[in-house]
Amino acid sequence: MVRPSDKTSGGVLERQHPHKVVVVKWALSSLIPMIVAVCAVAFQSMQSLVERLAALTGLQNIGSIILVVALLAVAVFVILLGCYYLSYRNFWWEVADDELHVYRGVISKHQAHISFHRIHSIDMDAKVLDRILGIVTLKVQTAGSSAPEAVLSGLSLADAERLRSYIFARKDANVATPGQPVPGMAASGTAGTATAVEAPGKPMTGSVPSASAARAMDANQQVGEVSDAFRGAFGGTSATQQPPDYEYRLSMKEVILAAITGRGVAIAFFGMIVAIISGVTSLPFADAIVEGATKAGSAASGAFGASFAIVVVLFVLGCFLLLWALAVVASVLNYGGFVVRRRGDRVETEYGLLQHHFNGVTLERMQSVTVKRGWLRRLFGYASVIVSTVSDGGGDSSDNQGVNSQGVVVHPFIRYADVDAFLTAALPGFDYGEVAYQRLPPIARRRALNRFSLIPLAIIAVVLIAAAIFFGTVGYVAMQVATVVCLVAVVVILLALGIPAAFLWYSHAGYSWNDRMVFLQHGAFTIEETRIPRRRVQWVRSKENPFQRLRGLATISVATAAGGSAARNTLRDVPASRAVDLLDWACPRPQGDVADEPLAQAVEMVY
Amino acid sequence: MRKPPEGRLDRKVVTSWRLGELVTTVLLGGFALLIVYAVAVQTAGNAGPALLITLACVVIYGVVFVGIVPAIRYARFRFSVNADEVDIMRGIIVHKRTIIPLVRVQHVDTRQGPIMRAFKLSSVTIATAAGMHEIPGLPLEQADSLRDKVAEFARIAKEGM
Repeated sequence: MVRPSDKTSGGVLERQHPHKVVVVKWALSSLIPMIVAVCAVAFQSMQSLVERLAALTGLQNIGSIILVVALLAVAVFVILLGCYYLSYRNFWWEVADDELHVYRGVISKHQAHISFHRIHSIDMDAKVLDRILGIVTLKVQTAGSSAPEAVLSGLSLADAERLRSYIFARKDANVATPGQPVPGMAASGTAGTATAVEAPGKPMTGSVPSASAARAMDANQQVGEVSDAFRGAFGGTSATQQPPDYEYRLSMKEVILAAITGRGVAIAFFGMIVAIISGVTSLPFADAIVEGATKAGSAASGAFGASFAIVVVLFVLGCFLLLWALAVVASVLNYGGFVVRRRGDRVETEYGLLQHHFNGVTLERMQSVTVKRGWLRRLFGYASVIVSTVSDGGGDSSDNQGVNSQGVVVHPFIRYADVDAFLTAALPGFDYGEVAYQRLPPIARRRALNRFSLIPLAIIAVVLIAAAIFFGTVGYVAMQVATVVCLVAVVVILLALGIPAAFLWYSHAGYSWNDRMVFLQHGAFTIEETRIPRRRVQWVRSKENPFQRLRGLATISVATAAGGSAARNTLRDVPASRAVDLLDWACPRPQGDVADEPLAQAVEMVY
Repeated sequence: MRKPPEGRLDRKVVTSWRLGELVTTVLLGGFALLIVYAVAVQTAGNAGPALLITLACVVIYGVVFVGIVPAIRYARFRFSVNADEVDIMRGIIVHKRTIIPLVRVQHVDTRQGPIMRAFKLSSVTIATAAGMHEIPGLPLEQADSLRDKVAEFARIAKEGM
């Protein structure tokens, strides 16, 4: 596989393709949505489809029609295999001394040359299909871009870990002793080992016994062992060149507790409410109410009504429990086997029972840390810790579960009292003992009440009442009843949830800052505490709408390079004077530094 | 207490904004009138009242966005640049004040649209890792020197860190 022209004095350029099985994966992952779509259409018009197929092919019995469909699917699959084989042939990468070259594209060709020192993290993902086939997708993240710089899909796990450890070993070696190459890919026994290039100044296995080389070799041997032990799944210990400085594994008990106390309850609750409202406002139900009202007074209909009510309540409860159970199972599958570890300045998380994810983030890329406590978790005194990184809000958020607008979860279930110890160990630089939050002025509570409850209530009520009157004048009674039921539901929800939410929001809202960090806390039922180091602050804004101006309040926003999660970095209704203080805080200027004075005079410029 | 920044935009920017808004109003208004005319003729046969209402809306939009808004926007916009930070104050209904530490500035551009060019004006955009900030409508030379100064200060500030 080594092309002679690729041998440069700088390194081993060995063309590496993904594992061949990736062609099957690509083909399957294109075929499955097609089959699903076809099935969806087929169920819609099964009868007509069968008839049409029968007419088209002249076949009569169902069996042969299924056979024809299956043959069609196989034919499509073979064509897909052919297409993806082409893209497989045109997709390879080369690992040079301090650069990764990635080539892809059948018709339009793409090349990426990524020097190792730009690489911040290498993430690994394995979806269910990947895990069955025993392959992983490797995502190379660099500084300065939010989407992965290169996506290498379909490496065998062993190759992926070897490549990862090689790149990080090279990175470290370049930092420690620049120009001292370490044996890497070739040393660890891929097909290329035998054909390794023995160019001058490029020592291969055993040629130059340097400390870093020996360490890298150890790591590579370790990789081999781990990968052998865990075929097709992620290994127990990861294949990086240094042992972790900190490691925490979530036990299955913690994972299950985390899932039960997680967002599942809220999701199930709102799913239930939506189901109730859509059920109640659906026309047959409204018609039934109208009918029931006209027949009112008969004892039989009363008894029927009572049993009907019990059935409805049981059904609703059943729906709620089912939704909750599903959410819990999904959460357990997602976070099962959660491990967080730190090696130097890299923090790695690994999780997932079916789909496996491996995320690595350097401390440099972390913009802010949020400690999140849902109301159910607060009862038990537990929290989750989320990190916003530069790659937040990037285009890749849909296919990278760990990195989305929510940030990277670095600990899904931690005792709140232990958070600071965890931050000290796992995310040094983000720890800061007890934070004394400053409360908002009382006027903020009244404004919260308006915002959470009264204003939306007024708007929705006006719209719905207008709609009800309209239906009344048109004479569409069932629709009018549905609108009124909807109105009552909205009023009840906004009063029963909105008012407590406003009081809770006010009691939780707080802000604080010191010379290192700014701390913001808000949230009604879920408390979010966000801390942003001053070094990460890109800009600070104070914003006043006319009502706030009247009360001397302002909304503060602290922007970091982690775009997506801006809501977290915003706090409403801070006293305007404190907002101005925060603006002053934003700029890290050396206080009373003599050396700065001539400069300050020279550049004092006001337009 | 922090004083409001003292830098103002060039007065000509009001006229350039007016011109831009006028073009938008005429284009959008013409388009709206066409559609309303077509629909009204199809459905009612008599397009008169509908056209009048639309025209009134377009005129109101024009008065607000051509006549009033640019002047207020100009009056509200203040900025200053010193060795530490860029300070921008703006906003007509919602007042915003943004502080950008110069250490965080990634690059500074000047840019110009066709209308701005006709008025010999230019905008300075300041990019950070968390988005762009714009100081619109400065005279060409001032925009160029501001751009160079911000770039220079940013370089000095970064060296100082």
